[in-house]
Amino acid sequence: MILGKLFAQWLKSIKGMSFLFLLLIVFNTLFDSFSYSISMILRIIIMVSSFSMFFLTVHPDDLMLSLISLKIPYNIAFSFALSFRFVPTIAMEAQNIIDAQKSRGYELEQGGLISQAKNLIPLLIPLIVCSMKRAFHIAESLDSRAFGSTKNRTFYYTISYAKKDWILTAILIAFFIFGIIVKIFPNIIPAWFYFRLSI
Amino acid sequence: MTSIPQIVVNDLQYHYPDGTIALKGVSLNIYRGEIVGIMGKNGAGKSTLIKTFNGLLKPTFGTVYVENNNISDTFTSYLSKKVGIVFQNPELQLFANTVEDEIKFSLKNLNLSKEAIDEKISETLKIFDLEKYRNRSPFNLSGGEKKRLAIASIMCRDPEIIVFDEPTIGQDASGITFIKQIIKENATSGKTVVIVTHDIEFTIDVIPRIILMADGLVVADGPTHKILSHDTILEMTSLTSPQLVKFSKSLTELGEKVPEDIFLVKQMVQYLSEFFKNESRKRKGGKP
Ligand SMILES: Nc1ncnc2c1ncn2[C@@H]1O[C@H](COP(=O)(O)OP(=O)(O)OP(=O)(O)O)[C@@H](O)[C@H]1O
Ligand SMILES: [Mg+2]
Repeated sequence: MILGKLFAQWLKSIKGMSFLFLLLIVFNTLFDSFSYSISMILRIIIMVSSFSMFFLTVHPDDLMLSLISLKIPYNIAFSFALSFRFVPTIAMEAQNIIDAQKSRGYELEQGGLISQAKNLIPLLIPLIVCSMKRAFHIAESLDSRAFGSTKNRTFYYTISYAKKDWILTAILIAFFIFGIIVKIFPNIIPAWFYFRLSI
Repeated sequence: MTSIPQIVVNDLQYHYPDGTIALKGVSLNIYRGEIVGIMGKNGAGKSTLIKTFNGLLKPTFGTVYVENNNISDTFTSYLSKKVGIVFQNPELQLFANTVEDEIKFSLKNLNLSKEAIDEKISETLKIFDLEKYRNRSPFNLSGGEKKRLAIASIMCRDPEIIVFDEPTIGQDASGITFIKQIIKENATSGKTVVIVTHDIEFTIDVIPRIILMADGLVVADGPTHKILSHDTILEMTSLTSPQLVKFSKSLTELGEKVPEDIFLVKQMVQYLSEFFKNESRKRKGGKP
């Protein structure tokens, strides 16, 4: 059920990029080969899906706790998690700003590149101003709750590194090193491993 | 008031991309020159409804007509000349270096001549009492002044229909008086004013007709005095009845029959003064 929902969201983000894929296919086939463009697209899909998998499944609080368990100072971990927490809020605010400006005759799409860049000013300035204001508000409310007044704070939940986490980390590092080695010495991979689509 | 409504909303549904159904079948008519209030609790769908009036949101089902334009196939850039929406937070739209530039920006897409624009700016600054701030940064204004500037930046475009989303929030007494005055002036000059608000006393003062919403539907639509004296309706929308209605109800509980549709201090004063005259006459009559 949850997996199905995640998959639907993942599919949506991939669908959103289909235009980019089309462009990639056209240009890479023109300048290189079709199989190259396919491998390019696969690379992008992997990149996008690993990012979206991460942010769709990991709650910012868990991210913070795991950073803390890695002995990263609490205030750094906290601001890191906080910045993720506010991504949807800022997206909502950006939409409200667009609505407010459109209501007074603002048009997003018009003119060449330079005038389009200039056109973003009425959106960016309110966005920056409102975000700064919010940042100050958050800082004030953190201060008023005595954030950072003691070195050792208590955590309601804690996460610690278990054995299986170490094993997974070791495997991932091994993969990483293997990838680098292959990149530097491509000859250690037997020739039959290479394949190309013959289109 | 002409017989053809200026805004016709017919069985309007709006679903947000995340699946939230904010409007579940809203129908209403608004006529030229009316002042209409839209009330209802948080999340009832008021803001969603008004965003369809200038095409910021397009109906998922149903239709919205503004002056015979179906908003589903009309651009916001066109509709925004007819319908001006003043949003709650003025900071969402202030960006220019000076107050003057802020208003100039609103006038840019109206195909006006340079002279006409300059004239309009001066006129607007005068109406909104912002002349002394002409060359100041909008960010250095007070909350009330920012609000005035935001209203000015919409009204300078001379829209036929003006929509306010919660205009009184964060305003002090003089700010509210100013907004009331602007609304009344516009209505007398034939413009239509739609106001989303939670402010009961404000409503009683300036709004003759209320559309009450709950949970994506219109639950009541009628004259203010009828709707605000209706207990069950008010309960449904978690509005509290006006102070004076509460006052007359407690008087009634004491055994005096007080009419239920007293909303203005003036009416109450009149009622009470008559009441006391009658009382003293009765006493004199009782002891000849
Ligand atoms: N951008 C959005 N995406 C998804 N759902 C939304 C969005 N904006 C509003 N909603 C939802 O739609 C419903 C109606 O919201 P709306 O803002 O129209 O209510 P409202 O009557 O204006 O409330 P308030 O009095 O708090 O301003 C709410 O359930 C709200 O959570
Ligand atoms: Mg609202």
